[in-house]
Formats: sequence, C-alpha cells, structure tokens
Amino acid sequence: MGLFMQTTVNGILIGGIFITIAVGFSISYGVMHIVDFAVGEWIMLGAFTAFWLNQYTKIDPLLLIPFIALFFALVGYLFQPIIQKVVNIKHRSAAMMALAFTFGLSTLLRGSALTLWGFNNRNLVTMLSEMNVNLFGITVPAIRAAATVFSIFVTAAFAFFLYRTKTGITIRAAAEDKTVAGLMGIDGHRISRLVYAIYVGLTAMSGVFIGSIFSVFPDMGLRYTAFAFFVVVAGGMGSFSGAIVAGLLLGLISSFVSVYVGGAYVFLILFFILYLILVFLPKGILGKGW
Amino acid sequence: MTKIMEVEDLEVVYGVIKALQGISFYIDEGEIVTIIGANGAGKSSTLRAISGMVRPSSGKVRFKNKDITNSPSHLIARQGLSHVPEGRGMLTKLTVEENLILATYNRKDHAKVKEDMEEVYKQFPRLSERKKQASGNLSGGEQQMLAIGRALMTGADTLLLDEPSMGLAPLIVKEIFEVIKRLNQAGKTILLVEQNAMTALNTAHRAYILENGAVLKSGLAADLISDPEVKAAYLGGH
Repeated sequence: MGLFMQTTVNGILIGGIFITIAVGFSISYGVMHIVDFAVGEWIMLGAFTAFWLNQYTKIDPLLLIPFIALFFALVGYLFQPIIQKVVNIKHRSAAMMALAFTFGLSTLLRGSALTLWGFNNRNLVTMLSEMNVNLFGITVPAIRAAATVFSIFVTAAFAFFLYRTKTGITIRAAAEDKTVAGLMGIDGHRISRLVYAIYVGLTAMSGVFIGSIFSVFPDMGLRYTAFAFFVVVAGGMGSFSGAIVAGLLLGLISSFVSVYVGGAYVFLILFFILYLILVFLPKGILGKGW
Repeated sequence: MTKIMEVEDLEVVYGVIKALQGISFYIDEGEIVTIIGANGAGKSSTLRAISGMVRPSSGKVRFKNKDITNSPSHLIARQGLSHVPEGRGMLTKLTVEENLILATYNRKDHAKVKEDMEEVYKQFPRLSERKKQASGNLSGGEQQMLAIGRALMTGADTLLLDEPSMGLAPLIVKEIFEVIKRLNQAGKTILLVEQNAMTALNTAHRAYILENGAVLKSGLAADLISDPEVKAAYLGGH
C-alpha cells in the first residue's frame, strides 16, 4: 500500500510538469497547425541554459526560471516567422514540409548540443535538491513538489489568460478559425507568433525542473517529444482541458509502469494505451478535440 | 451622395475557373445595395475579394477613397468594413459574449464600445439571454444575429452580408431583414448578397444582377422588380 501511494503521488507530481508542456504544445498546435518536433529540444536547451548560467553566476537555477522563460519566449517569438514562412510556401504539402522542418530543427539542436557539451550527464543542483517534504504521509523530494506546484500555478495563469482576457479570446478564436478571426480584424500571424513564444517559454521553463529532477544531457528531450505527442493526441488536438487530463494520466502511467513493470516498458505501454484511445476515443479522452 | 466603395473590373480566379470576369459597381454612403444571382454566379466571390479573404487576380477595390485591393483581411476589417461570411462564420467554442468582445479587439473608443454592446443586445434580445452560451449551441437565426452583431461590434460603418437568409425559417428571415433595414436607417451602408431575390430587392435601394461572374443588369431595386426579364429569371416568373 505504501508503494502504491508513493507511486501515485510520484505520478501526479511528474504529471504536473507534463501538464505545462502539454498545454503549451497543444495550444501552439491548435493555433499554428504545426507539430513542433523540437519540443524536447526546448526542454533540453532550457535545462542547459540553467546549468551554464548557474555554473557562471552561481545563481540558483530555480531563481533563473523567470529569466529562462522570458529568454526562450523571445527566442520563440523571433523564430516563429521562419516556421511560418515554411508553411506559407505555395506547395501542396506545406504542412508536411513544416513537419520535416521542425524535425530537422530538433536533430540540429540535439546534434549541436552533443558536439558542444558531449554525452556527459550533468546535475542541476538547486536549493531544494537535498530536501524532502512530507506529502499525505509520503516522503517526496522537495524539488518535485515545488516543480509541480509551480507548474500548476503557471498552467492556471495560462488558463486565466486564455479564458479571461481579450488577447486570450483572440487566441482561441484564431485556433478555431483564422479566416473568421481575420474578418474581425485579428492578425493571425501575430497571434501565432505570440502563442509560439508562450509555448517555447513554458517548455524551456519546464526543462529547468526536469533537469533538476533528473539530469541534464543532450538527448534528454527525446522522451518528452514522444510524451508531448501522447498528450496532444490523447487529450484531443488543441484541447486545453484534454491536455491537462492527458498530462496527469501520462504522469501516472509512466510512474506505475516504471515501478511495477519496469522503466524499459514505459513507451511500449504508453503507446499501446494511446492506440486504444485512438480506436475508442478518437476525439481525445474528453472528446473535445477535432 | 459620396461613393463609399468602388469596385472596378474585379476578377477572381480559382485554379482554372474564372469565378468573376471583371465586374464593376459602386455603393453610395448610406445605401443598401444588393447583388443577386443564381448559385455560382460569383456573389460570394465578390464579397470575399472585397474583404481580402481571396486575392483578386485583377481589378481594384476602393473603400473610402483608399485602395484596399490585396490588403490582408484583418487590415481591411479595421477600416470599418465588416464581412459577415456565408454560413455565418461562427466561432463555435466561444460564447456569445466572447464573440462580441473579440470583434472589439482593435477598438480604442472604450465608451463607444460599451454603448455599441448595449445597442447590439437591445437589437437582439435573444443574444442577451444567451450571453454565456457557446455560439455553436445557438439556433441558425440566433447565429445570424450574432454574426451581424459581431460585425457591428467591430465598429464598422459598412457591412457585407453574404446570404443572411440561408437555411432560416421564413419568419426569422423576415426578422433579419427588418434588422438590416433598421441598421441602414441608423446610418450603416450595406452590401447584401442574396439568392432570395424578392426579399433582397424589396430591402435594397439598388441592385446588381450577376450571371456567370458578370453583371447582367443593374438599376434601382424598384425598377428591377418590375422588369419582365428579371421577373422571369429570378422572381418566380409571374
């Protein structure tokens, strides 16, 4: 029973971090209709940025989070027009080209990181790294609890932004129909750029947490790219609430499979479950996608 | 009267199909002008080319003495020209209220926005009752009202209405057209595209009849109603 509870809590905690990545990825997909294969690499770059900044400045990685989120939001903001250009090319399979483009970007970033920093695993040491907290009678590393609480807070703020502000309305409008939004005077390209910036910022920020919970290495993003796909497809394409549920589900599945079956089987079981979801709930767990 | 819009030799091509073969017309400020014609005559293409939803292959659109040909649709919308597209263009996941707020995104005249919002709810009391409902759950008539209300909320003085009667019960159609007349009396300029030729001619000041992407006839709506040729082809032939 103790192990079961421990596994459940671990699953929920890690699911909390997935939620932030999932929500950003899902909204960005919903607005731009581009699958960003580089999602894992934004995580990796966020973690490495925190690592190197920490090495040189000795500032705690957790305190660097606002800076990293803003910096990568800026990177996303500056980079998005390039992706947009690929999609706008007058070509029958422009969407496929965008897919190939982000896949290439992912490979390039991973390869560059490998060349620059090698295979070594690095540890991102934070002020919470050595601490534990007691949660419902279960001992959990403080960094995991903090990461989850922070992620949930950020996700809630993002939800508030999407559902309670004027700009949030324009984002949801652009996600549903850019042409109609355009008739209302909304610049679809500007919205895409904004959303991509938010998504890259959120993802890099999550990278700092992931890096400090596990470790930092050039390939660390790979599994999260696969996770992001799971969450978007299982949650329903472009659905905010679906992404939250799927993020939590993902955390629980990976936690339980790791403990009771073995870490090597996480992907096998995860994608089998995704297969079942696609067969029986093709619009996502909550039936809200399209 | 001053011409608020002038369209000159407008041509729209989809692939190899010429939807519009160079049509010209104008709208005076404060007018209701209607474009009628059969399915596929090029009515919707005309509106789409004006509002920037499709790029015309040639021709010119001038609005308030400015060339808006080839401008992106969001910039055209900000000039005070609002297009209510065919099929109403609902953002189904947004609530009624959010749809209306969305339309005001670029407006800075906040006091006037508030006034306009009250006016829209007064014009369409049913929208006021359904403020918090997703617009996808509205009936066809309510969606049409929302689409028109939203166009008004952009602060537009000129409306392009594409088949506002489509798929609606006769009673609702009557209501919608009364609204159109009221809006016009309140100073809005309206370009109305309709298949329902009789209702459109009864509402409009002037009309253009489109056939195979070209203007077949034009004139005062009242004259066209009694034109034998128009009667035979578009008004049920009595």
